Amino acid sequence: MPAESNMLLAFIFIPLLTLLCLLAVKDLNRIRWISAAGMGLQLLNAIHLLVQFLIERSSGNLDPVLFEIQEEWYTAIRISLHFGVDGISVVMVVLTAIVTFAGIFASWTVSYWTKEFYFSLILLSMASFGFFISLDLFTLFFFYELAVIPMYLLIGIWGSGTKEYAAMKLTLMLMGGSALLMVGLLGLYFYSDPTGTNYTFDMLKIASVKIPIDAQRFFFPLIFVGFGIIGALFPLHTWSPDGHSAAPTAASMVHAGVLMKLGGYGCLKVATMLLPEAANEMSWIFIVLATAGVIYGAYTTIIQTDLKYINAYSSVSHCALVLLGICMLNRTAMTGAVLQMFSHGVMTALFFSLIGMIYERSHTRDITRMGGLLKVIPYLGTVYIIAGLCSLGLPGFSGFVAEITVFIGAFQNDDMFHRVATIIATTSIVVTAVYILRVVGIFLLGPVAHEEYHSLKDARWFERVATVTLLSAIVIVGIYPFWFSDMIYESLGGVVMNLGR
Amino acid sequence: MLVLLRYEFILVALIVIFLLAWLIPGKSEDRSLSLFWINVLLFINFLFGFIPVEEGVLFNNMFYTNEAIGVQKMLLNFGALIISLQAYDWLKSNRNAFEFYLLLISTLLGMFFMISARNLLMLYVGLEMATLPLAALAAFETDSKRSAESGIKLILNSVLSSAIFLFGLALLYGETGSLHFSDMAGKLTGNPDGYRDTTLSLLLVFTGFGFKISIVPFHLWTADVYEGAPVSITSYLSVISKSSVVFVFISFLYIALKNMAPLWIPFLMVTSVLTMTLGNIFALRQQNMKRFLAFSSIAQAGYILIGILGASALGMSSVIFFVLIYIFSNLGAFGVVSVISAQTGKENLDDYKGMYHTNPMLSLLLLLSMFSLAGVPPTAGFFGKLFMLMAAAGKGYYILILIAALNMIISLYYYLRIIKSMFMDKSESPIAYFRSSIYSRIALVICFAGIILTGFFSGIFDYFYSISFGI
Amino acid sequence: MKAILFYIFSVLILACGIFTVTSRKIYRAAIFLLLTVVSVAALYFLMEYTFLGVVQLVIYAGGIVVLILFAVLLTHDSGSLLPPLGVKRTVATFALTGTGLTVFLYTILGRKVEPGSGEFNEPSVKMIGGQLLDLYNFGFVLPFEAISILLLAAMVGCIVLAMKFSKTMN
Repeated sequence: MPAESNMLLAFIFIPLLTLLCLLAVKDLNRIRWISAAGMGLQLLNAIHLLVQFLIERSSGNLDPVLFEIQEEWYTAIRISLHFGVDGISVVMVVLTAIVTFAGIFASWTVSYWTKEFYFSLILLSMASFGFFISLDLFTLFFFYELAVIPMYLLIGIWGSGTKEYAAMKLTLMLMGGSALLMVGLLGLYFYSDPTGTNYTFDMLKIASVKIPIDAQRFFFPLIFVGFGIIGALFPLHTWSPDGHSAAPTAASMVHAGVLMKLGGYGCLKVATMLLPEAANEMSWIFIVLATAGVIYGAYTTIIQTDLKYINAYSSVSHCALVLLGICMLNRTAMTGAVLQMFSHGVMTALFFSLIGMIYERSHTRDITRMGGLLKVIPYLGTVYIIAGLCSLGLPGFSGFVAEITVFIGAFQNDDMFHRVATIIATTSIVVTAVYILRVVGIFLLGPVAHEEYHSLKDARWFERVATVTLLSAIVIVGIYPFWFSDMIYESLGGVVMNLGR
Repeated sequence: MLVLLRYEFILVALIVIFLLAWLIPGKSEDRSLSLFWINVLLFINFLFGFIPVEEGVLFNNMFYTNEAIGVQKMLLNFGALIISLQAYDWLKSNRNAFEFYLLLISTLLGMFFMISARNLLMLYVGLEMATLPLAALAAFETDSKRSAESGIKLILNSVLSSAIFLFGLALLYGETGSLHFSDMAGKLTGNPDGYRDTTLSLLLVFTGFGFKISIVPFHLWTADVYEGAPVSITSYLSVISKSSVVFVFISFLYIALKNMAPLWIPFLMVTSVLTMTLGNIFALRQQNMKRFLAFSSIAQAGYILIGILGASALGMSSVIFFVLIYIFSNLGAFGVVSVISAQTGKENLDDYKGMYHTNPMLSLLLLLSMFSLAGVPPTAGFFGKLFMLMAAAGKGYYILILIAALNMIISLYYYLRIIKSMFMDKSESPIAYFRSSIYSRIALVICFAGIILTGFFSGIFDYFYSISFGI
Repeated sequence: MKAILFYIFSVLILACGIFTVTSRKIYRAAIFLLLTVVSVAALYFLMEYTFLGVVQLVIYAGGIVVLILFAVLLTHDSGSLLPPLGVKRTVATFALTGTGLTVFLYTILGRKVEPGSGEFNEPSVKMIGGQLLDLYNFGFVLPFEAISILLLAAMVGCIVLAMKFSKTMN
């Protein structure tokens, strides 16, 4: 399948070429358009991948991964460049493409070191693409770490507030996660072959090996927590509010929208799939933590007044729901978790882009100092309300589909412990509704707070491009969720099978 | 014989050439022409390394060579060439350029003998030859008190460590009755009766090695010497000198002490943890760039020990691979520090504030070097570190690599501090824009390319793997 | 007879060694060091290691200690008393040397030493010389040559450091 395989490699080469082109130009407009063109192409490529994937599946191709491509890399220690996608990866790739594309337009007004800004941003997204299509744990880890570093520069250079502190905290915590992860992955490598000769990083091969339970007990927490940190696992989520509030708009979008999904994806496809016995044994610990995260995130959001903090804490809550879905260890809940990853990705990216746009106009992110914005900037205001409705899980938007699937799946575990955890987590829906409505009520509705707000201009064209892209993704998934949920559901076969072995 | 001793003969020829050139009367004050030719000669010397090396023994096992040793020598040649290029700005105005190269090449020759040694006597002679002239080099700036202090500290410490080392070797000889590694391996079989003697002698030998690689607790001389010495010598000490001793340490452990692994593995474990942790903790507080790099190189030595602990072909090849990467990244960092020091005399972290505005290329190179030292992708350092930890994981030392990985986080903090200083901090008086000489720029570009590309060309590592061996 | 001589020299070595480190006059310390070194040479002679004894005399007594004496004489204030050691330093020194001594005694006493049998034939100086430059039969020509280069480098190094004067003159 040469043509389709090239399609996967293109996910790395298109951003790479864009980066090289960026190096060559100096002119501000060219920088913007080259970035936009590159990421536009990437978005088309992602949609193409989605379509091809659906075509292959409907034609009865039931391989666990499609469009596989494998090249030897480090032959001596059997590291290969092994790429391929299943339904979950496709969904994540599409998410990344959408968010990055929107991010390029949302940061159209960046004027300080624009080239470096776009360079870091595209590098970040390239790393995420690479992560989602990797089937080799080495390249997966390579891309994971690659994704963390541009974030440091993005926050530290273009951020606001306590940016240097936030950047350092975020980087060190995430790299701390990757340190745990590294030990875990090396462990997987050396347990990948019971005969002790042909060790491999190949996820597909490791999935078929039953690693001794003692080793699993040691490595599972390392890997799960390692990925969990970037997925805002309570109580290691503290980098998230600081980081997101200090980051520039596009960086927050990509980070909350895509990077935090690296965590969920890794927890699901590496930790749970490759170490299923330990997952069965230990999931209760993470259920407790995830439930705590859901509740903690939701309740903390209520008292925030900074728009970015509001979104950052609600992200903690939503991402904890992802981990909760994974830890429930059944197919429905996991499907919900992946859907939630997608839904939260586009939704939070939309939030952050809107917050950036509003901040640019009002020069404050404090909701108590704003008011009546819906009257002066109706377009942005309306989109914010729609995003909010999605966030609180209104039917018709992606958020509803995702959350309801997680909860239905969670309820399938009929013992006391899971029931209690699920019920506690469900209360977050109510809390979410409370804080979303409160926020909307305070700063969008009501009388216009300042005279000069009347002179504010509504969204410019590039802002519309960014928001419309994200909004349409939310609506499409909200209305036709089965495209995605079917894809995800069948791709979870491997995980579920391993869990039951 | 000529073929096997090729590397050494070329260096001796270089020494003779420099000596003759030194003696020719009526030298002009302008050094640029002679420096040009010296660098060309060093480059040719490096190129000769590409001719394949055969395995062979000379002088009754006093001298041994094979492909792996050839590669190690070539790496050292390469590092010396880069350092020579970087030293151009500094040497141009120095009257004693020939002497500098004479001493430098002598130490290199010593390292080659040392690496090729399969015999305690040659090991010792090589080690001495590799360190004694360095003391003169460290004190090379004769009108600087700090440089003189650095030279004195270096020579006192190296003499002390040599004495301990020699004592250990003498005891080992007494126990085994042989100077040859292979004979010793037969005698040192880890028989518990002989443990008491062997423990003491090995402890002394390890102390000697420890001083040269500057692992904790034998590192106390490092920072002062590194700070006072001229930058080129500091980089030579921290990269070339250290790597060469690492190479010979590996051969010594893997050949002579292959049956004593239960004895040296705990020793290496403890020292590597100490080395990484203390090196990192001290590096956190440094303001002077040379001191900072000194402590960071101590911490790096800790990671190298972890690679050695792998005690397998993977362990040895990962260490050689790491040394290659370390040459690129540390010399990249030292190169930037060196040109800035030569142009402006500034060596403090605060002076680097806002440097990206004025010197973007230098800042980018330093950024990449820092990332590479920290082991962050896509730089080569990521691959180097990961493979070394992988080697240790192969033996099941997961707790050890967990400690190492957490240490990498600490180290990331201070590497990021440098980056923050260059890219995020504002400064009233940033280092003004300047163009360094073509020589240093060539060196910097080589480092730049090396840091970016080495990891992706897997052939290099695969080749190292094919020539490596374990216990 | 031999045994008596052995003990006399041993006592001399120990006593002079102790005086070397306790004397507060640096000149005296150097002289005691010389005596220690000479007594060690005497032990070698006693054991019929004539070559080693000569080497010991030539290098240590003739070379190094004399060099130290020169250095002492060239220093200012060489006649005055060295400052006495503080309590802290004394304790630290004793602790350090004590540990070293214990470790070595432990090791040495733990070793079974058997008296050698047969005659000891000391190699002649001629043999040693031949061996040093022998290419084949366990010869030491390579280290010999390596050391000659080391000496060359050491000389150049000394010149570099000593050249300071002429540089400032220019």
